[in-house]
This record gives sequence, structure tokens and C-alpha cells, in this order.
Amino acid sequence: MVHVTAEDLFKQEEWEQERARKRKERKGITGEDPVRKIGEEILRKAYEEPESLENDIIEDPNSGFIGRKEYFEGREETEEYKAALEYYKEDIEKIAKQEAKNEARRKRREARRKGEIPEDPLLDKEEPQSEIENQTEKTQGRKKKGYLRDLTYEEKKKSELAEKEEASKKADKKEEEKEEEEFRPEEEVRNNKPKQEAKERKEKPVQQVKSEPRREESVHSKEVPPRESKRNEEQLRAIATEDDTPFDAVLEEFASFESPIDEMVAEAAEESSEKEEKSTDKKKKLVQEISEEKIKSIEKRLEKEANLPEEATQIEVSHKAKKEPAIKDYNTFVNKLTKKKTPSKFYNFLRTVKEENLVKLMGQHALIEKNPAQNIPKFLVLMSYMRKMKVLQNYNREDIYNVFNTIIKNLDILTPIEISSVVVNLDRMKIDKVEYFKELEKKIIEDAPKYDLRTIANIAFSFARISMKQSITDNFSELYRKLETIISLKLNKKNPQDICQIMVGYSKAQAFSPEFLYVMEQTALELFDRMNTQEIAVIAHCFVKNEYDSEGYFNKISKNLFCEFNCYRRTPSRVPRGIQGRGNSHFG
Amino acid sequence: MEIAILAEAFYQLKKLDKELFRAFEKQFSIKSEHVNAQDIASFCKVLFSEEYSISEETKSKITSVCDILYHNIDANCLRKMFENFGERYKQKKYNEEYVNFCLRKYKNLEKKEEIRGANLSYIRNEINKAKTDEMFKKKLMKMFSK
Repeated sequence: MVHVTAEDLFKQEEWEQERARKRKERKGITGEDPVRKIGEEILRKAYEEPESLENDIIEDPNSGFIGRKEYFEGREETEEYKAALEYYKEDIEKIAKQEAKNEARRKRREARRKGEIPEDPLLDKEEPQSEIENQTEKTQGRKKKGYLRDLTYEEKKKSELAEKEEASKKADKKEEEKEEEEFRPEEEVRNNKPKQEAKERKEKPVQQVKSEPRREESVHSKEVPPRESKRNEEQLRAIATEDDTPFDAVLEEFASFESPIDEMVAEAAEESSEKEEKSTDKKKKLVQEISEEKIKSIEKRLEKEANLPEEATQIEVSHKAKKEPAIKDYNTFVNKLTKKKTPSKFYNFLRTVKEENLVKLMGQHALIEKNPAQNIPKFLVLMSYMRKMKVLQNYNREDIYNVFNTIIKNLDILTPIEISSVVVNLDRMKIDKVEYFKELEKKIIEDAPKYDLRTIANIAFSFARISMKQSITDNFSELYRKLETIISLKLNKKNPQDICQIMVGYSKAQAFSPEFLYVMEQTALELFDRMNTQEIAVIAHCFVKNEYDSEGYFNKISKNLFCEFNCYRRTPSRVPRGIQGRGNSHFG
Repeated sequence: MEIAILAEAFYQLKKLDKELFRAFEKQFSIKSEHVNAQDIASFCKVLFSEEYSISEETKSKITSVCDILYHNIDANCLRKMFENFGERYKQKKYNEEYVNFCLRKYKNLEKKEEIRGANLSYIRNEINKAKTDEMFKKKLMKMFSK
């Protein structure tokens, strides 16, 4: 608590008044106070700039203050500057002291970081006394010296009594402290923080360098107050004297905790300059010890790595290989597959995998049974990727059949897109097992109302290609008939590409009914403006193949052939999925 | 190519008027460098039609493109190229080079046994129709005797 008496306030008022009077005298006619201005500038610069501009900083010979050159050069001789210095002498002194303290602290911290001074709270002799405490001390001092205002007798008595009480309290405190110091047990002293820290260091000798800043933080967070630190030091000295051992012996005790040698050496240097040689020897020894320990630990680690089984090393290698574009390890690849990932991410991952591993993975159909909902889409992606990259020349393989068998078993959990993907893969891989298609047909007929137009278009197209095969006797007429009505109902979300694909599918499967042809003609007429020339041609071809004379559609084409002649010269932005086999010219 | 498909579609549905025919001819001359074997076969089928006749320039363009695409032409394409061959030969719709090309290709495919079934029978039938012409008969004898 800070006790500010009425007398202090009175004194301060007087002082302020005097200051104001002097200021008025200096102001003169202009009304500005040049001295104050200079002083304020000096103070501002003192706080702000000395750290930032190292080259321009000099020490002021008058004030002993460190600041920029421009503030001291040329101004020293002016009266205003001198007056400002005098006027702000106290403040400047305070700042200078604070600066010096800060610098000392900073140096100490740096030294600790470097390891020159031990991180010992006992040696951290910081005195963070606040300005308020200083003020109270000053006021107390003033009281003692008799700078008291003329008060009444009662007031004086009261103040005297208060002083006596305070003095008695202080005396009691000092006695208590002395008693504590005398009867403090040795264990408490030995079980100080440095010891614990040293033990920690002993446990983690390799991580010492990295963990230093953390330790520093912890020390500061649990900082021992300066009084206590002094007390501890005294206690240490007392213990040392009791045991007839010098203070350095106590320091050696710290060395037994395997604290960093640099710290101990720095401590010893501070304490006694005579034993510098000894400390350097210690330093060297400990440095050697530490280096030996490090070498031993590295050797041990290498031995362990050498003794590890092959699988473990493989995993480690694969872990390192994560950064590399290609993953060579098969185990990590399988692990990646089983991890939760979206099919698109999995597709990107497949790009990094070797072809051999892709083929190996195809044989792991048991993975699907572990988690079919998650792994079937991935296997479908894998198959699509293998097809795209032409990893295999022939898909008539047992592993592929096994995968399809497990997929067909789990058809109930598949989404419409996944089912269409299965159909497309079967078609593209030229797998002609009738059982698969029958199962798929059943499933599609059941769930067709849930499917969107794009999915139905894919299914219709792929089933048409499948039905053209010699080995497939079924023409899936039931499926196409069912899909006709569903497509008709879903034409509100039509687009040229899907219509084109559906028409090609139906045309190839020879499954067009006259009614459905009419529906498709009307749809094509509606979409005509959105179609490119290739789509127009494909739909026209389908009408011709099914002997459907669509006057409206062909009239529209013939009109367009003359009116918008240029549109037939342009190359289409996208190739319709129906006429992929007839796209490229041999001249291009 | 979409123009070839459309031309064939119009021809098959017998919706090809003179203007439309000229449009397709022009389109072929513009895009003759961008056609494949199927396209040229479709164009041959349409442009050598009995109803309308094309210019000599277009005819020579067709033969030059056919020569380039010789190895890409298969039995299906050749069947299209032999569309109404007997009738058209009699009407002298073809130029000499085109007839030679078709017969050469037919001989080649037959020798390789790459043409069979409906395609083979159709082409043979059309050749037999054209055999009534003495000049063609001599040509045929000369070609197959080698």
C-alpha cells in the first residue's frame, strides 16, 4: 500500500506552482515554451529512437543521456537546450537509469541464452521496484528528515504514532526473517529449483538446446522474488560455511546435476576471477562429456535402427517418402486406401502410385468386404484410373472378376452414380458375364426413379454396347422399356449431351419405340438452339437409323445449313459421347 | 464429321434437294482436308448420286482424298463407296481414277479376306451390274488376271 499524506500533496502543489511560474516567465510574448518543447522532444526521442537507430546514437556529455546525434550536436551550447536539460534533469536521470537497467537485463538474458550465465534464480538479482515504491520511500525519508507541514497537535501525534507502529512492524519482520534463515533445514535449500531443472536436463540431455527458451520462460514465470533470492544465497553461503566447504563447492554441487557447463563457468567467473582457469577446465571437461554423450546417443540410435525389423524400416522410409511425388511402399499405399478419403482425393493420390502397386491392389478384393460403402467407390476409381492410364492390356483377369463379384454382392449399398460407374467399367473392360448384367438390370429397374438423367444416359449407352456383344444374348428390353418412362418424366432437366447419349444408346440397342422416338424428336427440337453441330448430326443419324422421318427436325437443319452457314465450320467445344469412334480426321 | 453424317442422313431420307446438295458439295470442298475414311465414304455415297452431278474438280478432290486414306478404308466404307455402283457407272457419274481405286481396294480386301458377308455380296452384286458394260468388263479382267 502507498501512503500519500496531505503534506506530500501540499509539497507537490507548491512544486507545481513554482514550475508554472518559471514557465510563464520563459514564455514571454510568443506564449510558447521553447524549453519545454525541446525537453519533450528529447524525452520522446529518448524513449523511441535510441534502439532503432544504432549508428546515429551518441552519449550526451552534459546529461549522460544516450540519444540521436542530431539532438545533441549543435544544440549543446544553446541556452534553451541547457535550460531544458536542467528543467528535465530528474526525468532524464530516471530514463537513463531505466535504460541502463533494461540493458543490463537484456545482456543477462542474452548471456543466459548463449549459456554463459546459469539460469539460476538465486543469481538473478533483479530489483523490480516500482516507481510508487520509490516514491513511498522518498516520502518516508522526507518525514524522517522533518519536512513536515505545520499541523495541529493531534495530527502530529497521530502521525508520530503511525510512524512508531510502522517502525515496530518493520523490526518484527526483520527478526522473523532472521529466525527463518537460521532454522531453515538443509533439504529445503538443496531441493531448490535449479536442482530440479538440472535433473530434467539429466533426463533429456539431447533436447537441451531446443528446450532452453522454454525453461527460461518457466523460470521467469515462477520467478523468485529478489528478497528470497538474496535469502537463498545467504543460506547457501551459511550451509557452505557450516560444512567447512567454500561457496564454490556448493556450485560444484550444481555441476553434479549436469547443468550446462557454460552456465557454471560464467557463474564462477562472476564470483571469483582467481578461479578462472579452473572453471575453463571444467567447461572443457563438461563440453567433452556432453559431446561424448551425444555421440553415444547417436550411436545407440543407429544401432537401434539397424536392429529394427524390415517392415518397420519400410514404414519409416514410406513416411519419409510422403514428401516425394511417388510412393514406393505398397503397405502405405494400402493404408492410404483404407483411410477415409473422398474418391476425388483418392484419384489424385493414385497419380503418385506405381503401376505395379495398382495391379497389386486390384488383387486385394478382401479390402472391399471390410468396409464396402467406403472402399467400393475407391475400387471403382482405381479401375477407371487403370483403364485411363492403360495399365492393363487385358481385363480378363481373376483379380478383376473377384472385385466385380464383391461389388455385385454389395449392390444394395451403392449410390446411383456408383452403379453407373460399375456399368461403365464393365462395358469398357469388355467383361461379358451375363450374371453381372442381370443383377445390375434388376437393381436399376428397382431404383431407376431415383436416378438422374445423366446416370440414366450413361447406363443406357453402356448397356447398348454390352448388348451388341456376341456372348450377350439378352437385349435388356425390359430395362429400356422401364427407362423410357423415367426418361420422359425427367426431361425437364434435359441437356443436349444427355439426350444425344440416350438416343445413341437406344439406337444401338434397337430399343426405340415409336412413341419414345416422338418424345425424343420433340425434345431435340426444343434443345436445337443449344446443340452443337455434332449433336445435331448424331441425333439426325439416330432418326435415320430408326427410319423415323422427322420433318420438323430435318427442316430445321436444312434452314440452318444456309442461314447459319458458318456454324458448320466451327469445331465443337466438346465431343458428344455418342460418336467418339468417328471424331478425328487423318489429316489433322 | 457432322457434315458427312448429315449429308448421308438427308440422302437416306430422300430429303436432298439441289440447293442442299450444292451446300454439301461446297462443304466437302472446304473441309476435304479434315475427313476420315468413314466421312469420305459417306460423301462418295451422297455426292455421286444419280439425281445431281458434281463438278470435275470435286471428283478429282474425292479421288485424291481416297488415295490418301487408302489404308484406312475398310469393308464398311467400301460398301458405301460402291453404293449403286452399277447404275452410277452406267450414268458415268464416276471418273476413271475413282473406279480404278474402288476395284483395287476391293481386290485388296478380298485377297486379305477382310471383306465377307453382306458387304462382300453387295459389292459383288454391284460389280456384276456394271459388267454389262464392255469397257468395265475388260478392265475387270485385266485387273484380276494379274
